[in-house]
Amino acid sequence: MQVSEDLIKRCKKDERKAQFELYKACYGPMLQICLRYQKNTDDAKSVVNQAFLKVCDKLETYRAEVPFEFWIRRITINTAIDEYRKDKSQREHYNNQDLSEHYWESKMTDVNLAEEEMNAESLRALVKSLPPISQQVFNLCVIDGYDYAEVAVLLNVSEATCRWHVHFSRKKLQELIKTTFQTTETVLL
Amino acid sequence: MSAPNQDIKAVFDQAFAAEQIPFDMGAWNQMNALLNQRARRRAIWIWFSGLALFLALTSGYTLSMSTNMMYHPRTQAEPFQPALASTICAEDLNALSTSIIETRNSVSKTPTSKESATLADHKANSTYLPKPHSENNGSLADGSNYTPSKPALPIEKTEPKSNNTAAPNATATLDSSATTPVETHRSMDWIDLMSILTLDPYSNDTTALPANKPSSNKTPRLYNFYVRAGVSKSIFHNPIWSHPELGQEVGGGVQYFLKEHLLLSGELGFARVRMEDTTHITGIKTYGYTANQNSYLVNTSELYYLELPLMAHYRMNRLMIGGGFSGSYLLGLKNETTHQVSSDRTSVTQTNQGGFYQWDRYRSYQFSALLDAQYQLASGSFIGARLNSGLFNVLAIEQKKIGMSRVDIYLKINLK
Repeated sequence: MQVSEDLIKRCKKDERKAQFELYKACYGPMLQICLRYQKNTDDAKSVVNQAFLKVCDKLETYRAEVPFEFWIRRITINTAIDEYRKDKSQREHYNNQDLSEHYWESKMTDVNLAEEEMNAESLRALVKSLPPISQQVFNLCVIDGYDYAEVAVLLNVSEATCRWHVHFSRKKLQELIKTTFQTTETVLL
Repeated sequence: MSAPNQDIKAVFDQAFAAEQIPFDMGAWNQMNALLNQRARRRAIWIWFSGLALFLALTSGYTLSMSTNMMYHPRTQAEPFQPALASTICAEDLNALSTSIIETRNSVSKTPTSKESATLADHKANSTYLPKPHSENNGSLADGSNYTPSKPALPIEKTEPKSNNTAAPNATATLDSSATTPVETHRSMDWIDLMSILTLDPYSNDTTALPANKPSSNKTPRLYNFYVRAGVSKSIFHNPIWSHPELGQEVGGGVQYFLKEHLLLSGELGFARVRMEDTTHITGIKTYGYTANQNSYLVNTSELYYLELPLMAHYRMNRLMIGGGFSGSYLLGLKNETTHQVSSDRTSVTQTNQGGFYQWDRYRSYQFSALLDAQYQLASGSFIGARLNSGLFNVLAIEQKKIGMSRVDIYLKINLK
């Protein structure tokens, strides 16, 4: 992501052209984050726009000593988590979910990536086959590098629960990758 | 982070670094609309702040004006005399009033011994001794002219204290020409006495304001002009059309006092009504061998009406309740059009923001029933609420019927 200081200054002045340039520069990385946290592409795009609106609103508070990419990434993740928390039905669904073997069998059938490469999209599909709360914890702790304590506060769960979700997600992803890719790449996990 | 987690992270990072996400122009169009909305919200915030400041200043000014102009029958009829108020106690006044009534009821023009005693007691107990009249010339002894504010007032005697059975419960009428010994004491304390005995219907009405009732000294003007400004919330019979933001309205008019409590008013106003009406129009056009699909997404968010409400109000002290009808004409509307042209190979999207023009989709004339309530804040300012219920379809097309109602909250200021 290449964002110059001049571009940020122009965005602070509410110049629409500068905002477009900034949006164009940030769109890819922001959407990549949102795609991991949201159910589908449309929702992810909507969260990207919400996050960018926050970026425009809070641009006055941005300090140059912090890398802009890190700052924008943080805002995007927070917006995605806010959206997740708003979606109560999703949580209720998880609470009532039966995590039986049958559930996993159906998930494995859905993720039919045997003939595909292990690219970003296929990995995202694998993560999405996890229960929603496990997805969020896995994304935050493993991919985005948040502490367990931080994630516990963000998702309103205990640290121990976070640890369990990470352990559980890893185990399930290993199984899924073994089944779907059936290559030596699973050794990495 | 543990080593296995690091390994997983490396796999994901590698995969994500290799991923190329193409830029989506449609997402920017949505973002652009959100940024416009944000800019509009800011503008509305500034507008509301200005309006709130204006209302605060106007209310403050009118309140201060009304405090100075507060109607009080005693102070308007005669100058207030603190010495008089402090010296005459309630018992004295009761005794005096009883003696007046009894005197008027008695056949003899000379005071009885009991009446003389009452008057003597009154004179002895009260420190205030009014100067005697010169003989029935209508002027006070100190040279000032006395004009009775109530020339003929009925007094209903409820508790006769004397045993005089000549006219125990009769209603007596006092006239200025009567010459009784008691009337020789009539002076400014009489006016005070009369108001305390609640002969004046307005004497206890401390909440009464000048515009609220006619003044006895001056003939009230039968009409007055006013201006009105406020916010409105539109309610459509189909909730999809409802817009979260508030509309605005301004207007001015004249009200005519048909009777003491009945007013007729007519005004001319301008209303900005918020709504959400999205229409999707598609069509295919062929240029040579290429077929282009044109897709128009038209979102109408504002309607501008010129209104002519006619109403009648009934006034109850500070509260006015009324109803009427309003005719309105659609001056224009605000559209936001997204035009997308797509063929097999290309897709171009163009957004035209804020097009103001009239569209045949909407009915030009509207007619609505009004219910209105106003509360007087100060002498010339009112706060009001108005329900505007549309009687016709908003749309000009017959296939779809959309009724519109509006709730307005406004401030009305009478012009002097």
